[in-house]
Amino acid sequence: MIAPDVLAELSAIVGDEDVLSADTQLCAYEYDAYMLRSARPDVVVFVSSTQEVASVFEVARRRQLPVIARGSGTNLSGGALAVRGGIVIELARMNRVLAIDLPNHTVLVEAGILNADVSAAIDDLGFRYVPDPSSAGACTIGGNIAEGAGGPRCFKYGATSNHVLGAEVVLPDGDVVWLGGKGCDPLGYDLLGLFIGSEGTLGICTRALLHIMRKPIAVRTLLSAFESLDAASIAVSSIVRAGIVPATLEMIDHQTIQAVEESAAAGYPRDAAAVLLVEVDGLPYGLDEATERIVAICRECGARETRVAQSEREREALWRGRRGAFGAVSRLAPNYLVTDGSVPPTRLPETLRGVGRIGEAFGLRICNVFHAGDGNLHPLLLFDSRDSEQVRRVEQASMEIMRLCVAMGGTISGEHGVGIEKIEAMSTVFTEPELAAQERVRRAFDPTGIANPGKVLPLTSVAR
Amino acid sequence: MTTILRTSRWTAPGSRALEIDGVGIDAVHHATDCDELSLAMAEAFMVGSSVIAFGESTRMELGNPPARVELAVCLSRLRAIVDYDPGNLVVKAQAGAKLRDLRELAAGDSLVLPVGRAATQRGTLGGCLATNDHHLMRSLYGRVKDSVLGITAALANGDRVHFGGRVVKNVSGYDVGKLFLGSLGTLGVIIECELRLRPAPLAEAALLVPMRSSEGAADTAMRIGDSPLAPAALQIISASYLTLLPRLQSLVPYPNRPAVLTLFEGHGKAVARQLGEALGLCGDRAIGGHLAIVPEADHRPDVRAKTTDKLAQYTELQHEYGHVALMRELEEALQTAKGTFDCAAAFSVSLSAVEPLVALLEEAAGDDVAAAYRVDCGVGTGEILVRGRGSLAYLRRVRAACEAGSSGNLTLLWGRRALDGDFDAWGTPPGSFGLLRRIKTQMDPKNMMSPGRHVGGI
Repeated sequence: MIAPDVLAELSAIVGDEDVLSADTQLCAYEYDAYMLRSARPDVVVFVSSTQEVASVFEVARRRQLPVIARGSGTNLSGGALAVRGGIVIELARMNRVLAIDLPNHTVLVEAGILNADVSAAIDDLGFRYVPDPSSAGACTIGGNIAEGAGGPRCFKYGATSNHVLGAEVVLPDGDVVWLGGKGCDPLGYDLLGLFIGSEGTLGICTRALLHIMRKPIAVRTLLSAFESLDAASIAVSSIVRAGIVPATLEMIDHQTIQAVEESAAAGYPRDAAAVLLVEVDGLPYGLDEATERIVAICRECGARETRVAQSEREREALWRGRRGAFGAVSRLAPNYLVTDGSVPPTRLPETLRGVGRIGEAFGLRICNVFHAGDGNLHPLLLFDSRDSEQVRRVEQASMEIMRLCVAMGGTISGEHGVGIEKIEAMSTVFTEPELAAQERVRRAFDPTGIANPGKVLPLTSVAR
Repeated sequence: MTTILRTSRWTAPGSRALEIDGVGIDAVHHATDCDELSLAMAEAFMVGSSVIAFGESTRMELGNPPARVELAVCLSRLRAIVDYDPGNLVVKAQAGAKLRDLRELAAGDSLVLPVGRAATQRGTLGGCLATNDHHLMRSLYGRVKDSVLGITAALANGDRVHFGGRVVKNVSGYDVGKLFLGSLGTLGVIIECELRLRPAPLAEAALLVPMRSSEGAADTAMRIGDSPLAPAALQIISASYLTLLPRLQSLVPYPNRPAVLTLFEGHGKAVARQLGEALGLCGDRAIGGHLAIVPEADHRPDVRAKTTDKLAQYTELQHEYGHVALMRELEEALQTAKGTFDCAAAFSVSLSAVEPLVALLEEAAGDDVAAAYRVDCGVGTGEILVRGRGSLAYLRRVRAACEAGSSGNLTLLWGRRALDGDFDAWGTPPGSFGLLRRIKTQMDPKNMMSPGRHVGGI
């Protein structure tokens, strides 16, 4: 329960109407897209300027209240949950494009803008913002920066950290700083690189300077069907090794294909064990040869059929299936948990076999739809949250999958962040001195520990 | 100091002792083992002595002189390739590994090491990372940070920490490794690193077009940059800078003119077509004639669309000089220049600031200062070489232009002592300087690690 005088202070900053504190209002903010936990904040504040964010932080610092940034609440690791109560700062109204600067290939946006709206704003100019999480139509740029979001196109073009040039950040003490900037070699330590993926624990991004790219002149999209996950995985490594850099290299397994075909009729072969969705883009010259080479590699790796999209309509159908895959899987069970481990691509066959064994051991159905070229897995663990025993098994299986990824030379999260979901698994990746060093970095930004506490870092000797 | 010298890990400097700005170090640890290095660092931490890391000392002139010079850690013997995994396009190596060796190793599997222009010299991996030594083809390969997947470092207290790993996508915990890139050893000593390799291109070629004026060169380069073409590098080379590339200069139709150099990599067809289209974009700003450095004699630029252009009539095809020789000359130019210039600086500005900056670089030179420059118009960076009495005033003027509007900076690469007056290596600290200092304090509470070398005296 938040003190009335705190509410009064917050109301003085943003106005009465933009402070929500009734239980009936707060219950809408107790979830994000991580299905296993909920936590109700004490108050939600809608902000519309950087200064308002700074003022809210100032109140929070004086009152020692946690501050959690929220955009669209699409976070998959519980990062937007107010696990220790406190103030949720809702940034969704800060959604403007502030400047389009084509000579410098940048756009300046407010952090609450949706990812897809950035590209929509520059589409007519022949440009796009490249990172493309599946939730692009719902997730915000601020959230993308907080999580270091990826997406299919990251295989060729890199993830959020490769496309954000600068960020206006409100620090937990209320100071506003710019990290990075227009020049590509800012002076000093790479604070922007550190901030991206820090999950709201170092401050809140309010504006971002994004690098935009010309839309490719030519695109070829192909779908290759395999009789086994192994064969499809080997094809992935072979494409990578052949020196071809597709824009995307995605894998979708048999169970997911069924769900996708039921919901979207994308034209995926229902009886395939796995399909690869591959896209090459760029200048038109040499693109057909690259496509032919990929088709040949898939054939050599045992693909039983490979189909190159012959029209934009056909291409769109293939992508509709991939983009709608998470939604389609919802048809198979009331809930699912998306895990996000990442492994070297040559370890995909044994990792996927291991994921299958974990599913069997815990009696869970697991679907796979993921960024194969990057080795970034997304096993979807199906369950019913009303059954606590199933929930327990899902948590255990998820931890086992993370351990498996680490054992394969990979890590626990490729693009969804640690949040609360993976916080216990951090010790499988980091030693105590490594966690302590991260805690010290956190203190440099947030000495009083009010920025999204309880996320990313488990308690270390430094924190204790 | 005697405390340190009494331990077996630290020795008195030998005849090739490291000197920083004329001040010698008291003791050196020659690292051959990561655990021993950590223990040596812990010993230094106990006595609170300052520690400077070095490898082959090719880039020690970067940054300001350290506030204290006491101990040094030499990493040149810590040079193992820990894990080479061409199947996953990853190599893990120790900091003392030479870039040259890593580049050769990768080339054996048709892979490219996407960092470090010092690769043709003695430069080490650790030095490359600690100084942000980007690849010449930055437009294609990105910055150093875009290719570093993981970093292992020894912190001031000797703790060995590893951040990142062997996978391309990794958001587990804070990306602390990024802080070490370009940090000049002020946060700790980089001891190992995992790097992402890139597939070697099927074909590569370059186009050098002499221009009537530097203004025309800048205009042309920006037009190519604004076009749908995808050059791996897009550079303006001033006429004076061309003298630092003697083999290239001997092949150019007009060797005393500024030139636009464009490099392309990729499928052979795409490379040939892009060469032709880039040539077409030069227009009458070009003086007439060009040099195409192509892999094979019959691999000429595809200029079908430009047959009436007189540029095409003066084609100098060069396949014997070749891409490798070109890259080597470009990479070595900054070293070559040490005999003829007094001082070198690097700059970074927004793309829209490039044209006015080129105009200033020309205009500000005069009787008392000679300048040579190369500008990477794909990313807005470049380097300037100066000599003469007016060097300091020239650099100050250029720095002011770079810093205008908070969009860029100018940093000193070498030759500070040749300047006739104070000139901070970094210039105006960024607005986030308070945070930089807090990071330094948290990571290096005793201010031992290369104190004073970095921005704002960090």
